[in-house]
Amino acid sequence: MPKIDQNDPRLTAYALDEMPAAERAEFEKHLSDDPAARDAIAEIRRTAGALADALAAEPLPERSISYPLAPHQSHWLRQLWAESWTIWVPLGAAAVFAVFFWRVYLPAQQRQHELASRGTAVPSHPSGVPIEVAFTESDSSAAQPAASKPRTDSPETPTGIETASTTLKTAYFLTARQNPTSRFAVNVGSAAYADVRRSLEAGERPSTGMVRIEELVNSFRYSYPQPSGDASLALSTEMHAAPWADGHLLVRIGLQGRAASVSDPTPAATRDAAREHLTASAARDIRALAARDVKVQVDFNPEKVLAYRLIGYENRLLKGVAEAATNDDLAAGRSVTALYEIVPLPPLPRSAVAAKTPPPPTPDPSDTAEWLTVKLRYSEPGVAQGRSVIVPLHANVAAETPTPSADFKFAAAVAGFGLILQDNPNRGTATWDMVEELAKAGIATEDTTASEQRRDFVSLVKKAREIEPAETPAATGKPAAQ
Amino acid sequence: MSPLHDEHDAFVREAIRLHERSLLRYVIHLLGDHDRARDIVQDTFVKLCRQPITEIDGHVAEWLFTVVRRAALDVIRKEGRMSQFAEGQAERLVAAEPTPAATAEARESCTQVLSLLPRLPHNQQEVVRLKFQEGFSYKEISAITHLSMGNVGFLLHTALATLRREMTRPSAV
Repeated sequence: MPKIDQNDPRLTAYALDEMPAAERAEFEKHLSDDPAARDAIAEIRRTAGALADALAAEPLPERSISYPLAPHQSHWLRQLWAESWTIWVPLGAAAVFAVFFWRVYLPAQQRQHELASRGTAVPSHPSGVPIEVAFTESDSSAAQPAASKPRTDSPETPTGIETASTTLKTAYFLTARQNPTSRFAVNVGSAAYADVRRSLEAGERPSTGMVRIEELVNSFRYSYPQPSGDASLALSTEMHAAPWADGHLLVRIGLQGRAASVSDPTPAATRDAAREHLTASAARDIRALAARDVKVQVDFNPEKVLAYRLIGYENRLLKGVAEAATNDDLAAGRSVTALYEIVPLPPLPRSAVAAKTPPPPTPDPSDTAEWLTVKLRYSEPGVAQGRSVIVPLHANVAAETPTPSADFKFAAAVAGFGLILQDNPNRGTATWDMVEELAKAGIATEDTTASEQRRDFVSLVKKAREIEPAETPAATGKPAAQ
Repeated sequence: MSPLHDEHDAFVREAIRLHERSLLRYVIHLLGDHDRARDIVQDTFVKLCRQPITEIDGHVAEWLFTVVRRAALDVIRKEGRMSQFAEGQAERLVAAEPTPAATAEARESCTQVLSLLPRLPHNQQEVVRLKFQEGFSYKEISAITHLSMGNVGFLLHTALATLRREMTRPSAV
């Protein structure tokens, strides 16, 4: 294979995660036997990280706009004021309303909620139960995955994903009202953990750009339920109090691909028929894949969720539509973990969360409205027909399983580790103590390899706290310094 | 007050909170004139007040940067200002304005890379800032600057290569 030229802009596109998934797979084949190109990519990432750090440290100009936009701020606005006072009067009124809303209405609501939740029995509703539906032939998007758009129940606006891409760069929460839909990519790398480890072992604090939380979290094995029946993927969810933010919840979404096997354990008739037309190498590729065109979408219910953020994935979300709409394959036996931090509506009473108890259910026991819905769709390797799984999460998911699993605790520990190393403005009350405690609590797992990895992580946390002893947590919920 | 108006109000307020200062920084780099930059940014938020949310929700930052850039280029054309990042001839220009001095506590490598940035051609500086300071994707940068995505990728690749070379040179700043 010809070597990749150092002047090839694809090197930078690859290093910055700007390459579409299809092209990336092809490019990685070239990279596999081109060490010089791999070195170049590492160099580009280093330079990009230094550059991003330096530019982030550059002082921002002072704000000059006060809101509602005051008319005395520039000649232009003076002119506008003279011409159209009609704009300012409603905006001023809106500000008055906003003051009323935050100072009077919300506190009243919270008091009411606290009263309502006190002494309320925890009702139990079946929830988190996967509903499997097969895609019908008439679903043209399933038949043509390359050109398909993810199917959603909410009206699909052309800007659905860009929402996330433009707002999340500030690492801040998105409101469920404005951005009800979130997606995350399943082809997460794991290079960041090795990079961070190398850096910490060398006694250096890793650069912010190096700390990719989604890669850190996905560097570890988790004991998720295996797919049952002839399914290729299993989806599991868990929701508990967020360790680093009072009143917030943390949702873990786990995706487990069917283990690879030489003799396919569940050779569906359709799959065999399709396979007859495949070459030997393609058949081998299929066995190495659990599923292809894997898309995960999370729909938040704005009636229940005020705001949310996907933890990590900052770089990937920046890519916006192009990446999120690209099909993704999941290798056999692989799992993918995504964490969402959500701010419930109305806010949870502080007392309930401070005690680290699971969040109380909504006051009305008959209220079974879902908080969020996880939608997974994928295709079996070699089968044209797609599958989809829809899992709604209710408030009482947490009440049903009051104790977080070891996997949940460990994933939260790794995320907290990343938030501290990133000095993320939304790290909340995350401290090294918290990370270490969570990680230790998450070591216990039947998978001995996983336990080994996790013990190793605990020792890395100890190294990190020597280098970066800052234990002063950032102000909770403070917006990014943008 | 209609709920719709209320939502629009919150929308504009949030947009100002998130983007005002980065827009200012961007326009200051384009124009080299703080007062003019402030006018342009305020002007742009007034335009945002009149914009239906449905048309821009999901790409507010991209919309704001596109609008301020157009306004800044208009100023350059009308007032004959020396362009910092002007299209076309930008490659031939020499950096006229040094970047704001990095804070004293900034790490050495930061200072170094920031001091090297003004040596790049202006169009490279602009895409570098949009990518690494504002966090836009190739696609968004392409929409803001009207450059093709291929061109954006080429400019960034070249800029990074130059910076890397300069940073590793023993005699570098």
